Amino acid sequence: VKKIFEIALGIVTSVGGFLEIGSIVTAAQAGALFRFQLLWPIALGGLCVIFLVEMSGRLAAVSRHTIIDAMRERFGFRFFVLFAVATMLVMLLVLAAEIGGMAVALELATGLGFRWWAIPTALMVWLLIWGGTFGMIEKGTSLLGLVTLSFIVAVFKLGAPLGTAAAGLIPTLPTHDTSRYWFIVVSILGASITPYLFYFYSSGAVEDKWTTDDLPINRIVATLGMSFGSTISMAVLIAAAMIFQPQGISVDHYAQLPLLLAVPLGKIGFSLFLFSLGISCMGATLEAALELAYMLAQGFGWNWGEDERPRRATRFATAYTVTLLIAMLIIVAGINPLRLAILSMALTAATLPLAIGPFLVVMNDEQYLGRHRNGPIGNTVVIAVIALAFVLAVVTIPLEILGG
Amino acid sequence: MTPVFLTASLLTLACAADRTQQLRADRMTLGSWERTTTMIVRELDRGAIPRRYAARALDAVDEELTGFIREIPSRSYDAGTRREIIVEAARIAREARRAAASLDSPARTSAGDMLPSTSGEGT
Repeated sequence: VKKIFEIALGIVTSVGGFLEIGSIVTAAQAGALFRFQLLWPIALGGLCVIFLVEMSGRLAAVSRHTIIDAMRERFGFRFFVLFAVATMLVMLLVLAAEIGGMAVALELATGLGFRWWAIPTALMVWLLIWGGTFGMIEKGTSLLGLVTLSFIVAVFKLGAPLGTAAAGLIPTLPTHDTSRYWFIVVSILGASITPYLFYFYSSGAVEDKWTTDDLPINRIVATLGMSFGSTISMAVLIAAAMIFQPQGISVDHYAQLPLLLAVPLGKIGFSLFLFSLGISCMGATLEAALELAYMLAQGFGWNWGEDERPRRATRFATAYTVTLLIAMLIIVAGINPLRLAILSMALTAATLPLAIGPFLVVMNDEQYLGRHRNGPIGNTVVIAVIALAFVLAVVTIPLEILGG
Repeated sequence: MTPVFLTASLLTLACAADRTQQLRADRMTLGSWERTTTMIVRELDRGAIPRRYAARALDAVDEELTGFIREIPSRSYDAGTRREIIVEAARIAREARRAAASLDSPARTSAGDMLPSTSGEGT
């Protein structure tokens, strides 16, 4: 019974913690511009992240190493610095975008500009990390995040033709706005395969002291949790395809987003949207801020752990304090959270080879995983998706920035 | 001279194609904001969104179109096209502003009455 409960809780927290500003915005833009045609990158990203989350849990359970620990040990400190600078800069932008997402939810609820809300939201997250425990942060926000299931209700309320939509799971070439199409593919892949998600998962598994007995649970949670999570992203896309696409409306401003739930569900839908956006971004902010601190602490060999009292892990506590402060200042400076979210997701896709390549090497290293090393299927899927995301990112990001 | 002439012709054709594509994108942007305005007013009228949010969303339409108008002079359109797009963008922004302003007025019965119907539905 305990195992079933653990599995159920793991799946529920994965579902509730899947959505964040990047996945909401990219899915909404995709549905508004290309109807159901861009469901396939969500499915592809979801498949890739299932493998990556399972791998990160397996690494932690078998070797008792977090991903960062293992990469630093395997490739040395110099490599770690190069890796950390590139990935942490992008993660910092993602963190800022998530704080922006919370602030936008509050702006749309109160009318007060998002820049003003960036300060109290960042402070609230900081207090939660400072005083909270890992379990409370991971499970609490993810359970609240189940409110994002309202997007699935909306899809049924809108009477979406699910059979027609399913055709979007097969990749097809665009008939219009070609460069925009590929840029959205990149952003969707970046939003789905966010490295902090599985880095955080491995740190959590080490904090929870997983052993090889946890491997079956890890596999089930990764597969079902991430599959259901991707389904919610698909629901956002389908809702946008039903509401915006027939009217020829593209999603260019965050103020358009609440219509995704307000049109099918009325005022309750409007409130559910704001709650979904606020809670999902809060969960992502907590995870990203903690992961940035984990990276620094694990990389430099500091004492770390969310369950440790701040005075026993002072450098770890300073790390999340400073990263939250910098991310908050980016939003206070007035950078549009929607544009920041899209750009940070695309940049995430561009840095995936650096963020995931060394991890794959570790996952194939007998010294760390013994007989639990990666098989050919996991390696092939992850390498293929990362390569696709990287090539598309290199081509489309400059085009998007130059306005092509 | 032939290669120079060919290159110049190809460049002219490429620029014209780029201009046509840009014009199409700009017209789509304008249409998108006009229909967003209509949708917000319609959802407000049927009680699906609060007034405060509607006002913010209509302000957003105005903000975006103001930014859009600022970008038009840098486009390689002829003067007539440039003027036509700016006038159209200004009209939609004005309608959004007017609808937003009417939300503060107690006399308002339906902001939709103030908007021209664009696609035959809504107001």
